[in-house]
Amino acid sequence: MRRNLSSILGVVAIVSFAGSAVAHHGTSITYEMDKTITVSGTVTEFDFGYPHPSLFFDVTDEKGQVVKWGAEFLPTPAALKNLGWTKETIKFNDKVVLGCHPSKSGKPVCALASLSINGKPISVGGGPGVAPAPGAAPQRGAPATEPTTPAGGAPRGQRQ
Amino acid sequence: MKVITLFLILSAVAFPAVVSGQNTKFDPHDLTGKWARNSNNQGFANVPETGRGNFPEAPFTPAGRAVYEKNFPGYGPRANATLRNDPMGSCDPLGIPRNLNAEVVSSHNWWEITSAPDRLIQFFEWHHEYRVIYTDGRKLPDVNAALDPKWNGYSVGRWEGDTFVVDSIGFDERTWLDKFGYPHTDEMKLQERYRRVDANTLELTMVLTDPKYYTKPFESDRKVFKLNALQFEKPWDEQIYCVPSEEQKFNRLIRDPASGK
Repeated sequence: MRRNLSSILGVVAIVSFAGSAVAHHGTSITYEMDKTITVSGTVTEFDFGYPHPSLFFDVTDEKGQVVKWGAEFLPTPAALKNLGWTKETIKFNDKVVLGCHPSKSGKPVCALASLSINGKPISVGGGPGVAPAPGAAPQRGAPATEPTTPAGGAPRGQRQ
Repeated sequence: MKVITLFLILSAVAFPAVVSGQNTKFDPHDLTGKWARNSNNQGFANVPETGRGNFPEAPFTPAGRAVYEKNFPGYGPRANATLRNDPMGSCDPLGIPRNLNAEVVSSHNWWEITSAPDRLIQFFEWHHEYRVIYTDGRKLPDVNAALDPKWNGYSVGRWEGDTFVVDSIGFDERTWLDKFGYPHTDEMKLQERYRRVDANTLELTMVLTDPKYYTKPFESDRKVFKLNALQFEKPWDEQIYCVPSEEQKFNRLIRDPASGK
């Protein structure tokens, strides 16, 4: 599955050190919190609900096949509201680029670390229970700037 | 001078419970308010939040340990992504004592105390549920009687000086003590001791006795709560619910595939 992921067009795995991983609902045992990948797609659904908002989007691979992806936000809706988010912040058919922590299962699900919507970066906060000041820069998983590495090529995150 | 002295004496008689703390007057016997936990530990006892390193061994009986080992939390040293069976993951009731300690801090949750002449009521945001602590002098039901277990048990409270002491029995044993999966039976007796140490601070310590699962009383660490310590600009603009259908969808589409469950 990891090989499949690395072949998906628009998915670029990037090694980064995301700082302290905050365990919530088993976040750190579910995702590779010490790795960040970049995923590009088109939004199909945005759930701005508790405990964590979810984003669903389609990613088209190099063969033209559409792969359904899902991503969870680490902050709660309340924390995101402090950053100016509403349930209308992401809309159907928006083009999104996510920096996110890949799942340990290798399936197309990830934990969101950074995001741009239709080419415009937006803060996604700093994790569960963290409410950065409005306008603050993302506290983890900043947009990737490092050279790329295949998804399976990075060390696994330490379990919490 | 005599007039001033007399005034001070009369004031003390008229308002005996009002004292000053951190420059703000408060009544140590008034526990009402919305409290958010300030201490980090979300375990019943002092289990490090990271789940790494040292953590105290609970005084399990063999039966208690057997049940503990079948509880698979999503947190801590025994976190298990694929087998996790935390009641929170399905929006099941958390019960007491977990309601007092489960993500009460931060954006997720807090609890509130209101009072009536014969009882205190605690409201828990996550499930929008409440718990009654009777203060009318009634006794707890006979533990040997056939009690119908409750998620939050039966509770009575009384004052010992400035400490509000709550004794409870009759708990439904399907709940965990905390997110680390510590179990209890329906024979658990719990004592909570609350003390308002200043205008903005409430402290809580707990001890449970449950001889089937624990060989001796199991004590919590000291929990510290702050009044109205919510992190958000518009806390009144929040509706925080654990909605089963939303939780199920989240698990089905996000968390289960991510963990390989």
